[in-house]
Amino acid sequence: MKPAFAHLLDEFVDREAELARFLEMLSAEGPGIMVVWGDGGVGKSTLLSRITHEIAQRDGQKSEVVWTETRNHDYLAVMRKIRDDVGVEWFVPFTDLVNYFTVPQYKLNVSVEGGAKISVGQGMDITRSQTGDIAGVLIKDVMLTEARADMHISQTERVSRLTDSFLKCLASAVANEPLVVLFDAFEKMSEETETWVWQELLTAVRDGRLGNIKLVLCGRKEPELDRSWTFVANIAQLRPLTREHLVKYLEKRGVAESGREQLAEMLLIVTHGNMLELATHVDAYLKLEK
Amino acid sequence: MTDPVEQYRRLLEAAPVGIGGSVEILLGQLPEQTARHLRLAAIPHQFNADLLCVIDPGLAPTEANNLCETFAPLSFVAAVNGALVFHDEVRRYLFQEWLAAEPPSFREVSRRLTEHFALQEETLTGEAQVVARQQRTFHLIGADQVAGFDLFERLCRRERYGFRLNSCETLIKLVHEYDRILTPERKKWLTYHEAKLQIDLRQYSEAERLLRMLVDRGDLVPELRTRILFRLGTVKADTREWDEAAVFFRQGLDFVANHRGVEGQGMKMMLGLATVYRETDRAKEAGSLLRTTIAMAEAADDRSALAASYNSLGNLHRKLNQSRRAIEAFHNSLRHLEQAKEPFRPAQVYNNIGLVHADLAEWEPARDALEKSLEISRKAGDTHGQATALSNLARVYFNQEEHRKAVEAAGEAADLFLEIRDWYRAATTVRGLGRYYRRTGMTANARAQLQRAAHLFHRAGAEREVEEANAEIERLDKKRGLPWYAWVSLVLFALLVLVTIYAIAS
Repeated sequence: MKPAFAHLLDEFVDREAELARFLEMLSAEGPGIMVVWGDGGVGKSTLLSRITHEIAQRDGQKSEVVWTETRNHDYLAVMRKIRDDVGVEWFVPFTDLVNYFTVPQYKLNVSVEGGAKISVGQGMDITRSQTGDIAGVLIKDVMLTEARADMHISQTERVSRLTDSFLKCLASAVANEPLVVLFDAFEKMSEETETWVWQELLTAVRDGRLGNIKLVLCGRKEPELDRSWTFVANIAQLRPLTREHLVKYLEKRGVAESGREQLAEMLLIVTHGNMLELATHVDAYLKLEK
Repeated sequence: MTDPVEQYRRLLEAAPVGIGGSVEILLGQLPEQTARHLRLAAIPHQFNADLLCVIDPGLAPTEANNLCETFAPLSFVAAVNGALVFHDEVRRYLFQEWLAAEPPSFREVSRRLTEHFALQEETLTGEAQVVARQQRTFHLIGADQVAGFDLFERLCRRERYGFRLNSCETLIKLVHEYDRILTPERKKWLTYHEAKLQIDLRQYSEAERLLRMLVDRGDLVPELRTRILFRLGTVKADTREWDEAAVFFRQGLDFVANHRGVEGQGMKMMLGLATVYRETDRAKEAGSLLRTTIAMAEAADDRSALAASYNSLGNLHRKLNQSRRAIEAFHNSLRHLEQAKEPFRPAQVYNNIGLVHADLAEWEPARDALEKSLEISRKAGDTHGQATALSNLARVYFNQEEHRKAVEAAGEAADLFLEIRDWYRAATTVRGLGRYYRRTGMTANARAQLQRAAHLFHRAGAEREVEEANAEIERLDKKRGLPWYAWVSLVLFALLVLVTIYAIAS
């Protein structure tokens, strides 16, 4: 099976201006935030795939968080995803803290007599063991989502401490290697998650606490930003394709030259330049042509 | 041979407008079985070869893989987290087509998917388990609307109690996908659950909009109507709009009096109305209502309602400065809670007992009761209860000269109130902290906390309290003159001097 969105790369038309803005942000020193918004099917995912491709071309590191109907990532899921994409080795203090807040704490009592066998609890690994030493117990992040019932700590405090730890780890991880974080379908975030993303993560990027990070947010709704963001965030609204771009698109998709202009005319009337509808029609047309 | 563009033009003319048109034309170009599987693949939110085999058990794994390879290059298909996903608009169209026809095969596929996700839910943990549970609920509605909606309501309630509102929101969104086939009755209940979520999110205006939209309909079953009236009353009471709260509770009481099967809600309405009367200085009416609820609860041997009534009566006595009677009522409430075997509700009553003792400056028993309240609230995972107990404990600690402990308790209480978006109580806690700093001469800290309190009061819509907080900030800046007793002492001293001089002179 081909990789995600690969088919979209060859067919990329228009959006040169938005892509150029991204590339400019990518090559600039310091942090950057870009927000791409537009109606459903207008081509945000196509642009995102092109952006992903450009990052890969430059051997850049990226992290992609996609909200879907069933994946309503909350603040913790966003941090976990970025951690897993960047490399868990950078986030040991953060993972420890996540486990501290979510995994019931066990006291491990080991008593070894004669040739008795030591068994390890589920979800635990014995690491760095040396003869004569008792092994250290590393509990991995088992992705629990509920707070420990025996812990008396407020949610606000938990979020604050986890976020602080995450941002410190992330700052170290990207100190020498830039990172691009891509958020797709941000309109599906819950209000709480959206608040966290803007007030914690994006604020840290804006204020330069995560110097080497660029963030791209793709979604359907226009972000409501106050003045403190207008100078930092690069906002791009995607509009429907024009006739000229549509002809170019049909060419890239392999539609025979003889019917291209006529088909473009027809599809533009039916789809009003909506990229998703256009692309689906072209899928159908190419099958018919075959 | 016909020109393909011309052929396509004819297809376009016959196709529906919008994304559905393009999808239908494409399906028409695919082999029949491939098109059938593409339609089937839109029932779940994402799919892979394994899931296609669940959807159609007749498929061999290689066939399922081939289908995935056929679908992947389509323009509306993307790969997300190792699975294939149709673009929202396309999946929505195809899913709605299933709902429009609702053939037996749809219910059968939904049943198989329900079983598949139920199995996943048993074997997975953490986030993956939560997603599996949501998917099981989603497909159960497709297989059996009654059982699915019942499961949704139970899960939604559980997530709300655990304050996992994100998950609750996702569940509501998923159920909305079935709007087309949900019975009108379930649509109303779904809106009611949405309103409750908005109340939890402290989005009172949205909650009120949804509840009013429902209550204006004439075709509600009595149970739903009484619940909505009660919620509208509590929304108004939470926003301290007492007159409107009273209107809803009274409407609820009238309704309960004239309908069978909803008598149980009557007591809740009366208690709500009693709170309104208590807070609006109508003690006589409040007392009368509470005596009625106590009599009703005794007649029904309803320990839980008796406990609630005595607790409310205790609060009324406290408001009237009848401290001993208040404590007696609260202890009555505790006794009934013990008989009803309710482990967590005593937290609220202990908190109230602590408050009465604090009013009497009996700091040790106040502390004892409030610490009991805090302990129970923590066991129950009751954020509001913890915040309330901590806020009151801060006052006790201040008076016992344990200043560091007091500041910590107040800070934690404010954080907890903010967490549950109770801006008003967060504001009163922060204002208390500001006043403490003022009394101890820490003017800068006092100003900062009072400013924060004013901001929070504004957020809660309590403009009178905003003005009061601002007035307190202004007074901080004014130079303070001598207190009245100092002036009296000075005058008396001057008189004494004059009398002495007069006596010497004469």
